[in-house]
Amino acid sequence: MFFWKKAKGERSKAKGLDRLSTSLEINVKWLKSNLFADDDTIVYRHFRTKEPQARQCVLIHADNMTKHEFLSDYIVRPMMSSSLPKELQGRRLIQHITEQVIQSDGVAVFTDYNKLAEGVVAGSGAVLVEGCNHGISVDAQGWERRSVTEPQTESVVRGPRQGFTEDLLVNVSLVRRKILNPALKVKILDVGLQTRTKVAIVYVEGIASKELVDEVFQRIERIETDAILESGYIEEFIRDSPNCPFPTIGHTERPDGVAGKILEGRVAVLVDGTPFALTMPYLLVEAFQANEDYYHHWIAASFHRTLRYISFFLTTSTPGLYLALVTHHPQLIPVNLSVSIAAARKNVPFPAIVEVMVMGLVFEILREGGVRLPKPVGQAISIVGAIVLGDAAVSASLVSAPMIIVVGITGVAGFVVSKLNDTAVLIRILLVVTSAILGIYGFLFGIMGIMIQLASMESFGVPYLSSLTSLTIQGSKDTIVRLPWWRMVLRPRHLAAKNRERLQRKSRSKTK
Amino acid sequence: MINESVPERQGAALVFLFIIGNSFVFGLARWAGRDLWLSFLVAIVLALPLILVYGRLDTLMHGQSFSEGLHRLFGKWPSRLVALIYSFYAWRLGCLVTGNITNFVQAVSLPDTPQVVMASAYAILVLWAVKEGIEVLARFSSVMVIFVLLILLTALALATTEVDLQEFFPILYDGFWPVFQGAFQLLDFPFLETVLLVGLANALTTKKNSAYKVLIPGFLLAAFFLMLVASASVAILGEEMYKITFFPVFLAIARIDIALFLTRLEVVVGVTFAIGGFLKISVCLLVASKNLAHALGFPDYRFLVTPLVLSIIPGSQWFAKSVMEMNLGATKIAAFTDVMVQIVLPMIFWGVAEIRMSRVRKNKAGKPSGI
Repeated sequence: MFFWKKAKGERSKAKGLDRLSTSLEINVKWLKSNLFADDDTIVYRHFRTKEPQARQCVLIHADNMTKHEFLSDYIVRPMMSSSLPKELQGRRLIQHITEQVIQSDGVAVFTDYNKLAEGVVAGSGAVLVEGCNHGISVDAQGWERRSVTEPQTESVVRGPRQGFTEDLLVNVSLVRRKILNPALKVKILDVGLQTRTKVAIVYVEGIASKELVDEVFQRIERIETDAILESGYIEEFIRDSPNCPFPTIGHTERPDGVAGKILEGRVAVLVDGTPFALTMPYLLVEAFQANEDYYHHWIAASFHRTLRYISFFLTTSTPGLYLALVTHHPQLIPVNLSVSIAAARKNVPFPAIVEVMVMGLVFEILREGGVRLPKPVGQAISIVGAIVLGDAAVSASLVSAPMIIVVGITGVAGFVVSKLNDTAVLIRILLVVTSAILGIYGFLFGIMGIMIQLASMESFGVPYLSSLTSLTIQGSKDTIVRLPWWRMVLRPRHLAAKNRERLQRKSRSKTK
Repeated sequence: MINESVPERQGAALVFLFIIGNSFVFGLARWAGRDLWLSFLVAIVLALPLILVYGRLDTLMHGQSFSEGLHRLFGKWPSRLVALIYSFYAWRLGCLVTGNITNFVQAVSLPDTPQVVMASAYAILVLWAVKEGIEVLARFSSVMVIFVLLILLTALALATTEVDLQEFFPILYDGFWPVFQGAFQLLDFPFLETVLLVGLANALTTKKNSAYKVLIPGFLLAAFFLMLVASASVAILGEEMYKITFFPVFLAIARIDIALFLTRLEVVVGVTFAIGGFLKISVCLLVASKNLAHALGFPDYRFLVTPLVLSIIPGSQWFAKSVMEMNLGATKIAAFTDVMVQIVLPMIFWGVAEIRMSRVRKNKAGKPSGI
């Protein structure tokens, strides 16, 4: 992390002083007036070791970042009750304290103020001893954590009820609990010049290709920004096709989801302070997958998958197709339906495109309004929006009744593929515009344009459409359908090119 | 990062869509009338050796583009002349296909929309696709081929109620000559237009000898599929109707009427036509700009794409003035230029390439090399 070494160097040069003094008083005074000036949450606990050779000591920590009992039981009490031999000085004294006095597993020795300050703000306790220009940093992190609960955005009927929390190490442990294998590697980087957020890169060695892991490392190391407050920051910095609304990096709140992805050769990035882990590369098919698919019977799972593809088609295409049929090709609609649509539209003063656009806009406003409101108010919004507005608009002849059905189908189907919801809105608008111009052919042009875009996209070197374009059974085993586990012999070709076999020979037929 | 090459099946999908392209809506092999399925079989048998030659050429110039291969075969100036011929052929074909689609759309569904609007919409899409390159086109076709097959096979399955197999009898009532006429028309359009894929197919394959695996399955599948569609149309419409309508497949599918609900399915023909045609125009323009760049001595072809693609808008109006003219053009029997470009020139390339190769082999025994 060369950029932060550089920043650190500049900072200590500016202050002119960075090594600890042998005088405890000078050290404390310097900390209070420089690094920790104007910071009232830093606690300085002065105490003395046992007579006859009593020495003045101080324990420095940030309030509420540490476990108080831990500090008093394992640092302050043993030090107060032990006497330090007089002949020990400097480095050897510090060694004696770390080896024989302090009862903690995470101990580090430092000699400059910056290391001390970094440790303290990250939740360590720092111990300084009179007459000694070394200090000891003891891991004592302890702050309020949210417990591991079921994630709200990805709840399941069947499957583990665990979700990530905001604590990086808890999250890493949740993933590690799923893969009890030393090949699971976790590398931690600090990103963000100001926030120094811990970012963990998690992968399974031997499955994930080395080039992919290196690429993820390089891209994350290149980030030089002030703050990483959520994994979305990282996602936007490192993703491919940054201007395309289709996601090229996935995110999930579920440890089983992350475990499944990295076992296929992907790399996961966990960020401290957020329950959303990133997985990469991310392919289009993943947007239609749910981790529950893998826990249910494969036929049911395939049915649900197919349903999601159909829903995505409906939510993106219904308004466009409706518009194309009503305005350009009324002869393609069966006669009875055509007549009833025409009857419904007879009193509506607007052209169909205006109807479609206005109703689409109203729906999006209602949705956006409902998302962030408190639950009781949100319900009121949806009732007012859906029932009152819709019904009133039809009876006032502002829009036709079929239009309400179109908007309704569009909206409901959109929630089925929630990962592509924002993308779907944009595609819908595009298709409405092209259909309005050239009818069904305009609609088709819109679709073909999207397909060209998708075909040209890559995520970390893997073609975005890769499973959908393989045209082989083994390549398509986990796309629109999910084949049973005993048929998924190989890992995806583009992800785990060197180590493809995931099903051992004897399990390749149903085990009865 | 990971070296992406297009698997053979994607290449085969591209070949399939290229051959299906704009051809299936026309009354293919209409000279043969009710015997057109025989024309198809004859044409397939005649075309296969030539497709094999195309594959062999691809294998011989593995790792090189068509124009690079020409350069090594004939030297600088002759190769530029040949590249110019192929560039013009590809460009003209692109214009024709665009004209076909714009005429078709105006004739059957958007009578009030000027053809230029349709042609411009195509030009924009094609411009984008050609700039993305052949790999993107191959991925595009491998998704689209599923839809095209599904749509048309469903339509044909629904059309079985209208099929009357008596339409095929008596077999060979008019003798063999119309069958051969139909077969030659099929060779010219669309089977041997595959010649444009020589030099592109090697971008579509990873292994050295796999150009055949791209060309042969793609060609065979497309040929049998076209045969199926054309025969079904004859069986539905009858020989006379097949011969006199501009778009017999369209008409045949339009006859589908199941429980008054599944009607008016002819729009799916338009949809598949638009998809296949788009792919064909893109490939044509890609070949045209690559060859033109070689003919003019430019190392990169990309800056030629925009002017060439924009020129198909007026070009489509020039080469396909009306539905009538276009139909005559599409169903004529082997024009001189087509024979040259599709058969004579590739045979010459092949002969020269084989002679050069054997010399190279004699000189450097064991060392693998291109032309």
